[in-house]
Amino acid sequence: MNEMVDVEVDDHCTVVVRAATRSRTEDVDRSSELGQMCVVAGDQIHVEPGFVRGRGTLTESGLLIATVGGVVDRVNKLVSVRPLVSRYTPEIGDVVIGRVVEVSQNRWKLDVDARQEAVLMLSAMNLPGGAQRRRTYEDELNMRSLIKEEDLISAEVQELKQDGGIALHTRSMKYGRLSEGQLVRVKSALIKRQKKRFQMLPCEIHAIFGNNGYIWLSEEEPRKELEEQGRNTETPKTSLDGRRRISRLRNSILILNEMSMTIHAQTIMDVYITSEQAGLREFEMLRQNVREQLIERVRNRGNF
Amino acid sequence: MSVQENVVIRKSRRGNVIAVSREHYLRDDLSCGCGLCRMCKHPALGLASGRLGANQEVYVIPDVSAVLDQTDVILSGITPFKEVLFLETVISEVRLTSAKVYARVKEALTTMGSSSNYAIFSNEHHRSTFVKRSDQTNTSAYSEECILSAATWLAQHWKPIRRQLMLVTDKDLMGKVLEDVEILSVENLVRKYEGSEPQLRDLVQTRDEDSDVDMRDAKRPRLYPDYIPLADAQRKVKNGKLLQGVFNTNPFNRLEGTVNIQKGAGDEGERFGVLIQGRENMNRSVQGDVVIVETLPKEQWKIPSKVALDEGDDSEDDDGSDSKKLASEVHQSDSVQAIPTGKVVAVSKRNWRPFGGSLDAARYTGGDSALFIPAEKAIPRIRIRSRRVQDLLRKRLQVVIDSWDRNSHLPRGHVVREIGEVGDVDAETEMLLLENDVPTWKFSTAALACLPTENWKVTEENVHSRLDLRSKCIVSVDPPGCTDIDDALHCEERPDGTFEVGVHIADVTAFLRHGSELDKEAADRGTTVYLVDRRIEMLPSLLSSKLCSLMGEVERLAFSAIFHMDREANELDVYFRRSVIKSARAMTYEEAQNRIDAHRKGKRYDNPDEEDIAKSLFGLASIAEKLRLRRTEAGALSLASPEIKFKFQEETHAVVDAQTYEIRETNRMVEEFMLLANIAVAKKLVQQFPQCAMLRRHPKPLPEQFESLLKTAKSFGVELDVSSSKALNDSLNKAERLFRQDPYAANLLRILTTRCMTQAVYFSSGEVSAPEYVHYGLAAPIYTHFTSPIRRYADVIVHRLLAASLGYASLPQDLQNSKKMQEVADNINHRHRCAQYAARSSIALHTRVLLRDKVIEEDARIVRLLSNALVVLVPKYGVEGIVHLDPQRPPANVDASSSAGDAFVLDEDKLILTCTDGRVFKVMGTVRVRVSVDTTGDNREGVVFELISKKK
Amino acid sequence: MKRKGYGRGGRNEYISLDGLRVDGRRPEEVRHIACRIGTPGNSVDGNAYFEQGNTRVLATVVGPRDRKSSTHRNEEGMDLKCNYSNRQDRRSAREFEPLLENMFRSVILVDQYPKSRLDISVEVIQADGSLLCAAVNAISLALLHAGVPMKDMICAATVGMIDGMCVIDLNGYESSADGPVLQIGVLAQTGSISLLDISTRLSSTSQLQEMVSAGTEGCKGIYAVVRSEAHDLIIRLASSRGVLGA
Repeated sequence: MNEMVDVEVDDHCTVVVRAATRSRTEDVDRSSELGQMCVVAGDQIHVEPGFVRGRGTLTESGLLIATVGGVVDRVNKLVSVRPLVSRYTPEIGDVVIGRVVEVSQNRWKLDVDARQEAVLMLSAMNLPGGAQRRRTYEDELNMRSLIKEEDLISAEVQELKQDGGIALHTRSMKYGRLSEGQLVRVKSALIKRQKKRFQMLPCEIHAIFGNNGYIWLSEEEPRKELEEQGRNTETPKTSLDGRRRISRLRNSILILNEMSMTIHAQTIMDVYITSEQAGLREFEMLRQNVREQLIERVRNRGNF
Repeated sequence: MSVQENVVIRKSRRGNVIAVSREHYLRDDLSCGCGLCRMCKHPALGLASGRLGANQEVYVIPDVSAVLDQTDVILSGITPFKEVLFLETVISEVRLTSAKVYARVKEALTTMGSSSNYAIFSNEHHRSTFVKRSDQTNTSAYSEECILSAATWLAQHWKPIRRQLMLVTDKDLMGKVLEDVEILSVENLVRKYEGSEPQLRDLVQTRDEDSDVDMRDAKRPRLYPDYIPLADAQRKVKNGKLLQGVFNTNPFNRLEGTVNIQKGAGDEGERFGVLIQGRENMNRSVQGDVVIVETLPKEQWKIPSKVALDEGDDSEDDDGSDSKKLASEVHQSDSVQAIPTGKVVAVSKRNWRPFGGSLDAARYTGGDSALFIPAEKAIPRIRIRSRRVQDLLRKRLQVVIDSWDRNSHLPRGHVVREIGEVGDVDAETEMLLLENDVPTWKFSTAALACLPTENWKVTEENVHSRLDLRSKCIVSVDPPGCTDIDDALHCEERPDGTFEVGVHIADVTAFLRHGSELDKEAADRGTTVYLVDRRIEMLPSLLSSKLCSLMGEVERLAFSAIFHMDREANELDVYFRRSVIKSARAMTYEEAQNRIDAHRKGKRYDNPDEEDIAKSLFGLASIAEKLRLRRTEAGALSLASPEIKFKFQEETHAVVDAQTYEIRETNRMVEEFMLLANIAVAKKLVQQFPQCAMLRRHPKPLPEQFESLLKTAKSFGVELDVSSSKALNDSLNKAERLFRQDPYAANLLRILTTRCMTQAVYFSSGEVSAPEYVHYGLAAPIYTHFTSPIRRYADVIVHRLLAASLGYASLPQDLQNSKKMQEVADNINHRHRCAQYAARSSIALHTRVLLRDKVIEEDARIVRLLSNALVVLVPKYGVEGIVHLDPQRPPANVDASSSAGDAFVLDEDKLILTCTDGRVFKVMGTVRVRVSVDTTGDNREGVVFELISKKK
Repeated sequence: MKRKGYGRGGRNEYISLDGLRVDGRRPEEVRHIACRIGTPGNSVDGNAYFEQGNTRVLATVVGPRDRKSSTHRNEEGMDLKCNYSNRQDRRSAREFEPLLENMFRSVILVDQYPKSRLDISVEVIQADGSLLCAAVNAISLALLHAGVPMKDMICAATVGMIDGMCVIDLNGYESSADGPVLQIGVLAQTGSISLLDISTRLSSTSQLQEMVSAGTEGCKGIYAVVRSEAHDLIIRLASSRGVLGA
């Protein structure tokens, strides 16, 4: 922000000088290879004849035009633009974390921060008892006792519909209702696509990295409670120390998100450890100047 | 560029405090104003594209006070003011202070090709000269800082091109010192150059401090009471304790005036005049000033005097005598007729402008000081000081008033311009133009740039988009020598016996784009001013007498009103179109008249074209006859004015004789069709734009306006009926029959009737309620001017409105607003009035030229009686003036005049003035007078009337 | 009484004798422009702060997200809603919102997002003329930030006709001048016009052409700044994420 005008009310006139153009481009090299690959919506992309139009582009009178701002990806003849910021675009097999927004006849609707809400069918879920059995009318009546509104769920993308609809399933031990932990929301594009979605971080906190940008942190391993008929079973309370560690992790993740840096176990732990070494307490981490210093120190560690 | 931010704290209407911040950009690409400078770029982007040049080694930069107070010197164009740079700071402050001075500076800056260079430097937006305004500085201190900063920078900047810079001031910067920059007062600078440029001295506005006259004045007694502080006075005006209004001097008696007060807003407010008598009560007010008056107790109320005061009564020697003179006039018992009387206690706005006139040669006794006699009688004499008084004695001058101290009888001023020799027709004409506020400057470069090329022709495209009337037999009928022909007519009989009559008006708006520089110029000028020997045009002559003028046998663009009429001249149908016409012939009134007369006598032409013209004219004449008859029946007045026409000698343009203006049938014929078209257009406009049509109305005179006329007529044995215009016209016609043996008497009665009328004015239809649209004189419920767009701006507006109503163009935004339209109308009214005054003055001037060196005895008619004088009119020359009844009375002898009241008895009811020596004067009576021009004395060169012997 | 004076000097002057506007710009110059895409700590999908002289606006974009079944306005494509708010002038919202919605519906590839909705909201922080245009520019940037696919970016500018001269990017003071004011929005790359809004009737078509071409030039100038800012952002994001290396 520029220095804004400071006004005292009883004064007749105040003058503040500010520079016409701010030099924000100090760390940006537009002519670099990277600069060449970055496009803004509406830009024309230079292509060889015979290209194949990919995502984030459109053709108009033979020219390829970017429709989003991002980096041009060229895989053989396929030219697409990868948006650096955008809503989560689901792919089959993604692990997502979602919050239930609606319970209807035989399905739950979940907000997964995509352009549409995801659907979890009653039939796409392992019912208590683990048996592969037919869903009865009684089951439909008891849906709320399993998962109700506002509950958090981890699930996997099963299918993508023609109209953009997302179907989920939880047919695995690892998926299910989440409790006793903390949800952190980040930009989905920052989550590194990796195989291991469920991790035990070095600070002994379990984390689920949802591809949709939702990260779940908990001290206990997310329980397979549904199998254990566990709606009513007590989950052990998180210890105070565990809460501290979760908080520190959460703030580390938020800092990364803020700085638009890729988020995975390694980067999170880098920030985590650096902050610990700096002797910062959890709540101090998000302060503007602290945050920047912290990132600077993380960068200097050379792990990035 | 970089940005500055100015924040102004303002209070909103609801009382909240709002910070309004405005950006202020600083630039590096501005011209320093000097064309010789190679460091700056000099793109001409604004109106003021002038740059300083090589006329002088020294460049003058005036400050705000110098421009405001010494405008004449700064813009004189005399060394050392041949290279003047105006700073943006100075210009903007001048603009806020005085619109008049700003207009002059702007004119100087935007007019190219004069011998001196004027340029502008936008110092407030230049990065190097910008001064940051701190919170504490007030406006004047800040602008001073800006000027000094700009001067310092420019001095450095101009060093490489070896140009010095001189900052001149009148008071603001007095005593400041700057490195590299010389700061001088205007007077000191003028003194430096006085040797080579003596006339510069007179342009300098005198200042109180350095005048030795003031030293003398200081010892003199105070002649006038002090003004009370203006803020107090204005507060009391708001409370209603004091009154504020415009001061007007009595034209016959300079020691008396009235202040016209308007209490309350709008038409509902009360209007009345407060009488101010005597020099002390007038307290240094000058005609046109806005003054604040205190009314005197009712016992001291007076009646306006009826004494005509002769010239020369306000010399400095007759202290206090005026009160005696007035006292003799007022009878204490007359309190019934007395009107509110008051005294001036403060002046809230001076309306001093440069006054034209000449020095009082008769009373000049040598030395540097002389009295200046303004041409406008309502203005007091002005004392001026000049080393060159001797040279100025026989010259027409323009003088401005500098100040009027309470211990000086007369205001003090200085000469701003020498116009020319007294008596020289050109100088006198220029003077009368100045006196009547007629714009005489040339068209600006920007305005002239809007003109089409000289060889413009009607194009194919014009013909397609317009009604093609080139095949019609159209003629124009105008006075001989007329070059700006704006109307032409045609008449065609249709097979069914009806007539098609076309009124074609020059389509000026095709050339005059709304909002262009030329349009603004024309709007300001408002009208073409016709003088006896020249005309001052509203539009450049390329348009007025060439491209727009509907000349014979040339294709021209026109706006046509086509009427369809039956044999009895009843209007069956009318439509308006833009058209292309080709006038068959431009005729004079006389030619047209002869052609019609010949046709009546049965003359026929072999040439079909000639026959068509004759037929067309005859048709027009016969329709006009019927229209006229119908209009008279409806109650249109036929009025008269003492118009005369001058004969000029061909080569020398000297006036050789005068004669009264002859009116032919064809004059009336053209007039009739113009009225027809104007009324038709007015109807159309009001229908289409009920809120913003430009119309012309002539209010019905109030009964009291007729009072003196009725009295006059009665004393002559004529009963006039003024209940309606028709009744008035009928009774005037009856009087005409009564005066068969004395036809001029009837004419005189018409002249006097005309003088009772108020002026017709332009107005916006939204500002006045519909019943008041009426035009009394023409007996038309609605009227406008459509037919002379070349010479009247009102017609241009009407053309635009009409074009919009027909869908030719959309109506410009400003014309959709009734208030704005009224502003335009007000300006046109003012200009129109000035043009009339100027025309009258021009006639008077030429009459004097004609009468000069002659002594003529003529019959004159008495038009008004004063208690010691007669106002007479000489029909042959159309001149009017005062005859002082006691020829023995020396003009300045006060004691003799005090007994004047005894020598004459004025019977105000019967309007008979009886002298003790047995002479009796009646209004409208004939007297024999000796007419001569007084070229001696005070340079006023008036026509002098002397009574020789009295005829009945 | 005779009226003296010329009647011209007294009125406001919008262009000085030296051809400068009240704030020192030339008629064809646009004010200083600054923008910032994606302010920190904001959980919306896209946001942009745009500043044109003293006019400052903030645009935020939420979505595209699931459309609730109750609001079936546009069955095939995306449902676009715009909310404009200016505390000083609450009336203008009703006028501007449909304009903005229509304009952006024409560039956003709405067909790619069935059954979803997009909410745009613009908040005027400080007003100094050319508000609609600043809103358009800010929204363009916010949409880019949200990664909403568009055919092109829109840039807008105001053009006024003062004293017969085309004046670009009117500030608050100049907006109060008489004379026609044109708001023009242009697709930045193709140059086709997506918004044309004229306050008053113009006296001629040539006047309109003159204003449109002046406005298009102004838009180009604004786009140059806007694009470089957007481009820089993308480069910075890409490099901080190490996209090339990955």
